[in-house]
Amino acid sequence: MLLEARNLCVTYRSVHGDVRAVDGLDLSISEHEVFGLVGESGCGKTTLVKALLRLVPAQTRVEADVLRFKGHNLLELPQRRFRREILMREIALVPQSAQNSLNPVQRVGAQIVEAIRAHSSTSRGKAHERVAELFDIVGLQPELMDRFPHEFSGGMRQRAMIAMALVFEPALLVMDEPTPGLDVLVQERLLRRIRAIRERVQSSILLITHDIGVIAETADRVGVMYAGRLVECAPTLPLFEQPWHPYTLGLKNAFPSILELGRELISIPGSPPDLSNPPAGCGFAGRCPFVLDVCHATRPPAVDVATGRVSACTRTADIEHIRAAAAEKVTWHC
Amino acid sequence: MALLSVEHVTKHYRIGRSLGAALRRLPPNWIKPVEDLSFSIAEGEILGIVGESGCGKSTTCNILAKLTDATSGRVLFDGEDVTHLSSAALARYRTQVQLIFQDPFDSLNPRLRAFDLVAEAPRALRLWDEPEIARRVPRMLAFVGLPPERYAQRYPHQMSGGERQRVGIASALVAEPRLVIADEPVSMLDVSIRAGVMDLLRDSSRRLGFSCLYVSHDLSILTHLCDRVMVMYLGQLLEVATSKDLVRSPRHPYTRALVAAVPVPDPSYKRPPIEIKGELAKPVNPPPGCRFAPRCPQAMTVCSTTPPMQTVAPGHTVACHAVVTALERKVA
Repeated sequence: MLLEARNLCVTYRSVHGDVRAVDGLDLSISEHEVFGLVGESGCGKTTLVKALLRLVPAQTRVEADVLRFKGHNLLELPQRRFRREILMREIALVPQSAQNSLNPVQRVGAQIVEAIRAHSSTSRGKAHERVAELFDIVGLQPELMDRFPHEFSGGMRQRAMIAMALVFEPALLVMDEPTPGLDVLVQERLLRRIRAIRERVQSSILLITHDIGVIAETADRVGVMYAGRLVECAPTLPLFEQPWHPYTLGLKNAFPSILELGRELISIPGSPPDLSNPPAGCGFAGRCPFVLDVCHATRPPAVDVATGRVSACTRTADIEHIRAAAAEKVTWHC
Repeated sequence: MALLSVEHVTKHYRIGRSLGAALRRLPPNWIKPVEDLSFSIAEGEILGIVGESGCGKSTTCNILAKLTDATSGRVLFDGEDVTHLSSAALARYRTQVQLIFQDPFDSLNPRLRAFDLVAEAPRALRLWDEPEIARRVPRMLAFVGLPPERYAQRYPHQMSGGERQRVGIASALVAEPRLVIADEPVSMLDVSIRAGVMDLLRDSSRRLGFSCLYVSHDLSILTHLCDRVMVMYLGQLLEVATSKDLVRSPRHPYTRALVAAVPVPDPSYKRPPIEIKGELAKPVNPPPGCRFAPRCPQAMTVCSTTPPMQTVAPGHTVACHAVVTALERKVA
């Protein structure tokens, strides 16, 4: 297991009280896999990434029963060692809006050379060679190293940021929303490139997005996040064929597909809970058409529902009935 | 009869050149976001525009909303030429054509309550007196799924993204427009609530009978919502078809690539190969002829002339020399 988190909680301090953005999350990522994390805005995806990379504000509490990465206990690893051994070298981030993350007044290649030299004692010449190699991996011509960011298109800038993240061949590459803002054709090309990168370097990829189409195409396993928790986790194909959690069923209903033109889209009524005042029970209970009294009172634990699959729902025993009912619009909107 | 017809509309912007270029008397640079665009929207129809950044979809919206004037060509609304309007006629036109904006977080005045946000346009256009407004606005809020007793007094920050977009729709519909222009109205919303906002738009179009021009870069959303979809590339119209025909039998090489590139929420889906090459250019000083030709796998010498729009099937038109040549060969 490359990364293992048990009962991870991240609590932001604010003047309006504490906000628990990640609330008891269990997550594990194996070597050489693409793990897709899907969820809506405010579900805690980005907070999870920030907590892993220690990018959260100083007063934020990060707690967990287990937070282990490649044999290191990340909860106790001193900051100096984290920065020297883990950040960039073992876990690297391609940030959200990566397209705007390059310095506009410095040549793209020079920025990556600088990143290499900040984290290692590589000579300028060696670093330059490495950048050329990385450009090749992400599908940019090495001549482009001497260009400025404004001479790059959005997709090219994104690929340059991926090149920078790959500098030390990290064991885990985290990509936070790599595709929004990109045009469809550019996005398709980027996803193809992500698959190719994965063949060439031995990294695992944690891909975070709200687009289940992107997940379907790239991920080996998928985690569905809602209100700070992982509500369902499964290999990609079974997850799409037979969801176990009502929220996953709802997401599938709401997402349009050009393969099913006549299908009526069904939205999920309501909105996510306020995380500064989180519900005692299941986070999805307020929007779930299959809710029982017990759902509001106690939080359902994640249980194994099939090989390699977990779902955090009290009603897993009735799943056949729930799947059939979830396909009907009246179930969600009566 | 068509509610709106756009006839050969072109929009060119002249942009700055460097001092050196000016001194050497080099020709000025032109951005040509819309080139010879013709289409029409029927009464009650939802027409989609799809295309990548810089394809001219937002410029088209701006021209129709009279936020900018076309360089040439004309726009007929209900049979009347609205290309040049007096200010009184313009005010009348603006009650009939309304906009829904992309960003429900930025497009609402944060200091107005939902009631006043919806009442803003009728007040500005002096449509009704206050008692009439007090009668109509709550009815409109209820219509878009926001019970007025709970929502009328709320400020934008007290509402979720989906609720704010419903306020945006209510303020567009309250003046009973005949055409609604929606520029990516759901792209900022979460997937689980998008479908609800799209349903609202379609149902209200059916019930109130307005036409809608719906702009998006997301083909899967458009094909679910629209009756017909038009594909634009760097200011040129390439293909128009019903949603079903466009997805099932796209003809233009660019449309074929667009359809093939759409993310599909099905892991077992086998994507058709995408043959186009190169990167999207900017619409600055575009070469004559088909603007897609430099990236087209089927480009021929004739593509340096602009291909005319040709009908390839009932209700399905394409502007492509290669498609038409292939069709003629088949007929022969």
